[in-house]
Amino acid sequence: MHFPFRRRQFLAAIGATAASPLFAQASGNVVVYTSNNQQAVQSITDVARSKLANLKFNFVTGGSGVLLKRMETEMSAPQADIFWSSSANTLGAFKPLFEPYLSPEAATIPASLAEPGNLWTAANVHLVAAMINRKQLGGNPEPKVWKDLLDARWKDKIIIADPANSSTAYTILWGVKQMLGAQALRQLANNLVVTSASATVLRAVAQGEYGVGLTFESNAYAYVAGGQKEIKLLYPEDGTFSTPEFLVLAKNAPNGAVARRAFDHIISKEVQIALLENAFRRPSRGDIDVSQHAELPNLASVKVFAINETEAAAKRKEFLDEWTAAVAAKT
Amino acid sequence: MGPRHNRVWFWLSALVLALFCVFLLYPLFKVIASSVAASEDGRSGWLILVSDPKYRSAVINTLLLGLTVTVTSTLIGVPLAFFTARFSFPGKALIAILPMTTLIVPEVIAAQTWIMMLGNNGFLTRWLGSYDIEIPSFYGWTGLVTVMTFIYYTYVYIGTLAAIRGFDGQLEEASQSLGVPPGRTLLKVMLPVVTPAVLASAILVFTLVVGNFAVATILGHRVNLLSVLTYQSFVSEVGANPVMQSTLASVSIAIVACVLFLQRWVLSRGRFEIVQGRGTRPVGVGGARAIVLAAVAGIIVAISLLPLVTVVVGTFTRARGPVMRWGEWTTDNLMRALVAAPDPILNTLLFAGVALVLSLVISTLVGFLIVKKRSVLTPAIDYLGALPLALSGTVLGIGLAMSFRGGWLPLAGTAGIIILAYLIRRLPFGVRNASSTLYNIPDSIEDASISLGVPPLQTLFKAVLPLMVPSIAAAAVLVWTTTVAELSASLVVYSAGQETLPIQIFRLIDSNLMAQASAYGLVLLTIILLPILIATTLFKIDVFASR
Amino acid sequence: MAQISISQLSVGYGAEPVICDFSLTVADGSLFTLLGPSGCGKTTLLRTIAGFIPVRQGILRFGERDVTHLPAHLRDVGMVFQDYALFPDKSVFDNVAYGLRARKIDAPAIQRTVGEYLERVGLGAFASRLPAALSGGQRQRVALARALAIKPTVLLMDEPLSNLDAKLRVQVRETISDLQKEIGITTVLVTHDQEEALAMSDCIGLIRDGRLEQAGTPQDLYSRPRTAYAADFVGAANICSASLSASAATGALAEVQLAGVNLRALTAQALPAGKVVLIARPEMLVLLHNGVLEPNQLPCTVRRRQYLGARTVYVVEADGGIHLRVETHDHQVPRSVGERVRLLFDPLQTRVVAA
Repeated sequence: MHFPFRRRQFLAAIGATAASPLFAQASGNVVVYTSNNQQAVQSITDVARSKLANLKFNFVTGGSGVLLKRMETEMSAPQADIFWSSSANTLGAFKPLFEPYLSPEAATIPASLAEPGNLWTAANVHLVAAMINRKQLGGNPEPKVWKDLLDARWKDKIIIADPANSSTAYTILWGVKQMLGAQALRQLANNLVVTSASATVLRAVAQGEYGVGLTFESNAYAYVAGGQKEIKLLYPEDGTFSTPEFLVLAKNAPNGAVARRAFDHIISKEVQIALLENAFRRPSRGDIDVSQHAELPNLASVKVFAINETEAAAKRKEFLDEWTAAVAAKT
Repeated sequence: MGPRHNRVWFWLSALVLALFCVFLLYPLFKVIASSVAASEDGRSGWLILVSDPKYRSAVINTLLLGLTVTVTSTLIGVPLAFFTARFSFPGKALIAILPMTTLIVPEVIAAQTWIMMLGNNGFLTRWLGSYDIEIPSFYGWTGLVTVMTFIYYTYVYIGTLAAIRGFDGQLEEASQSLGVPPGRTLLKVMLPVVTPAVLASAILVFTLVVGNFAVATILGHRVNLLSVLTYQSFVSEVGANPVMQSTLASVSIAIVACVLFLQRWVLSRGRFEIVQGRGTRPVGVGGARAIVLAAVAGIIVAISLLPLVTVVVGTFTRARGPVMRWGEWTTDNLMRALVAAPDPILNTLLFAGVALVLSLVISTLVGFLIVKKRSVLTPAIDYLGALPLALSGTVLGIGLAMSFRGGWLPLAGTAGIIILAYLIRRLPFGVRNASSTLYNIPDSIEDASISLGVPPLQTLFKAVLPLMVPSIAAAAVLVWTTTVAELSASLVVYSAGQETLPIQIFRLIDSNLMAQASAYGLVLLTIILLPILIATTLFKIDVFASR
Repeated sequence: MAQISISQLSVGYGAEPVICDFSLTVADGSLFTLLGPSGCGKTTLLRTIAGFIPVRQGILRFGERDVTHLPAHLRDVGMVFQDYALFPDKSVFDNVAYGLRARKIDAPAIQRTVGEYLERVGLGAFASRLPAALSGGQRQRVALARALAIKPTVLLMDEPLSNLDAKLRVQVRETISDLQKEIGITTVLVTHDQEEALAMSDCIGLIRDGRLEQAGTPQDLYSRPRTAYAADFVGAANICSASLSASAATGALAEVQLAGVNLRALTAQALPAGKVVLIARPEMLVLLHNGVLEPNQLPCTVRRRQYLGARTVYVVEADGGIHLRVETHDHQVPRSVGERVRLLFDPLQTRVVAA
């Protein structure tokens, strides 16, 4: 009777396959924990297909706070090679997880964006913008400055991600407090609806659930570029915030040297141009002319309010507590 | 057959029971146990659940949604079944493909395509917008109820249809001969008989709505729902105490347990033995009535099939990032899915393939133990074999993730845990199928083979198994199509590099890349449709016999 | 071919065994019928012989071979099941060849044997058909051929005729009988139909509640029942309470009182004086016109008359409300309802058994 024998061999093969670590990570693989969307991710992989054909990128997506916490729990046996990306204020609390690395590709990045210990490298620069759905303004006039958004008429009409999870949200709220004061923060808190994921902000505004969403220009601009006419970007005229977005090499990265190659790849010129054209992210590199590749306003034409990244990082817990209190005190 | 032989089967039953305990009961237990553990601020998950309005509203919304969709599904499914069973009208053959739609179209694709039609970027919305017609937002309650109804009404339809078809027409004739007019006869004679089946289907729909993840997540938005919050808790509690996810998952388990209990109670009260009678022959309908019936039926079928059409259209539509440029065509999306990034396809084929083989082998064995080798352990095996049907995928996924992360069986991080999730979720189909087939194979067949000199074990393979092949094939198709489309459990347990098609589609929808999602969706639909087509046309297998 | 010896067999789980202390010998080459009502244990006994039910106590032998604890597939029995149990997915040929293939017999030999047995049951032309395409009677014959083709030591048949309609039953009865005699295989057959048992068997074992009530040739069982139960089960019988004036030995012509009249009858066993049971077959009783009572005659009144063509059945009532059935043939003088008659008992055809 042949059947039982064949079956046994087959089952053994399945068992070996399923338990094999081969499925977790094969050689020539890189694991990237990223908070960025699929367009951004695809910019990396599309270029990688031609330039680094034997290197396979595996992405785990999630909010930056969530992913960094996960890396923390995995510290004894790291699963991630690279974390991409977050702002300094969020990364600051997780320094022990990072490996200092000065990539050859970092040569063209302005020194002002460098971290003294090379624990992280600036990959892109973000501008905070309000994503506005003109059809969902509810009769209110289009806001022009931050003060407009503090008005009670916008109560529950503005959506933002949770600053505990999203470095985008954290930057925005920190910036508002620095620029306009703690009272303004509370007023804004009154008007905000908080969602757990950054991606939801974009979807919610694009799909007409909300009139205003606070996010980075890169994410929101995708809709404008795509041709959704009612979507508009507002760079608040009293000043918006810019923050670099950093790329991190994990300490004891499981894939060693290969991880470094992937790191270099992400901040290489081709990938940065692809990111600009497809995901509308401003490159940190000084050798790319933004206006050649996308219809984003030049940095010079936007009023930027400078925020102190180090302070934002140092006072993270304090600020999050303040924010939680402001939300709890919502009227 | 001496006592020694019975012992072998008993220990096999014990082994199966042990496996169920380890891979099913233990994860469930962990989930419930974790819910009473304290969170970081010292409060137990249940306390948080009760005090936070977000969670309270989630539970209420979920129950409300369940009830609403159950009612609407019944309102569509029952009349449709009635008219299909009792009347012939042009286009009736079209209705026969209705069961196919729930089978073929994964929920994630259904949700996605409804958005592509009626979402704010949808082509219907845009088209109506060009005529200055504003339609209300499809997200929230509108979308949830609409999409879920059009997915789940088929369950009510199938259950009611079977009951009406099996209803003995002579009962109606007897009633009419006693002087009761036809309309009242239906109410007084047929309705009570058909009601248990309708109720059973309705209850099934309720549990499916409560556990639904894909539609709830994609269309829910501001509406807090249990399944969505459970998953979000899981995501945000990675590396921390799994408090809220366990609590919410436990709530889900509790709801389903209550509902099943209610079902048992209802069915036990309304139980009467219906001798399978001749159904009444369908009455031909002509003229205007026929046109109306055909039109209504046609519309319902068309709506159920819209996702298929939309997926095809979306696949070949050019898109710039998240914005679909309807009217502009391209093959880029499909090329990207098939050539540039085919990993999700390969993963799905491999994981589902392995799970399918394991599922068929195990479920055949379990069915055999339940039907032919009854022992004191049989009721437990029977119950546990059917339990996964009632659990939502998210709950199961969370349980598995908790139970097999490190420790004595570190499956987390390997493909093994995904295959395990697939296996557990779809096992009941195979078991139910194998059991009902084996009930129809008389014991005397085995005895005859043994008396002719073939030892008992070989008898199973030479005499019994060949008789089960057609039904195993049907079960295989059913298990394949539902495994390949599984999302909620695998979404919880997968690791980087192991994205399956549904997971990838989900992620793309999340990033609003609808065109790319459609391309993968088209591949998924093909993977699902092909085996069904081959089975029904080439091998004449009735795939829906065991639904 | 072998004799089957069953010694003190006990079968069944729990406190109450289904078959208790059962002993029986089936002669080599004979057709033995296990007869009894539903639930009496006859099928259990058959399945025990086949090996599907374990023996708790006792010994089972086929000839010299002790098969008491031998697994079923090694017992070399041919079994015909009540529902025939043909393998639905296999052709008639493959069904019959199944057991031969299991014995690793080579293909040409299989071809010959299967052909031979199919011819024997008259189904030579049906070799390639599937069971679903056969009638009930044809399926039964295939089952028979399948069981015989392996040339077993013993043939077992479980209610072989119960699923057939009346006319077919008689035909098939003869087929089975002829085949069994021709091959000479020791056969045990289970049935609840006493007419079948009488017609086919060399020997009958009447089973009641797991015990052997009486075993013997058909004539033994019919003419010389040892208990009221046996008399009632095999054929029809008048069973009346009577009293024995003095104790009697087995087979003695004893005097019993029935309805105030003295009758002489044969005892089936040694009996003490006192209450006994009188058994008289309806066709053995004779109705005489009213007149002076002679020995062994009971005065009765005719209560009912049923004309059945070849025979007429009367129900007569004796003193004390005792009703008796009498069967007469057409040539005898017809009696009318209400008529006073005398009922004649033949002492040698009337039995006295224990109460």
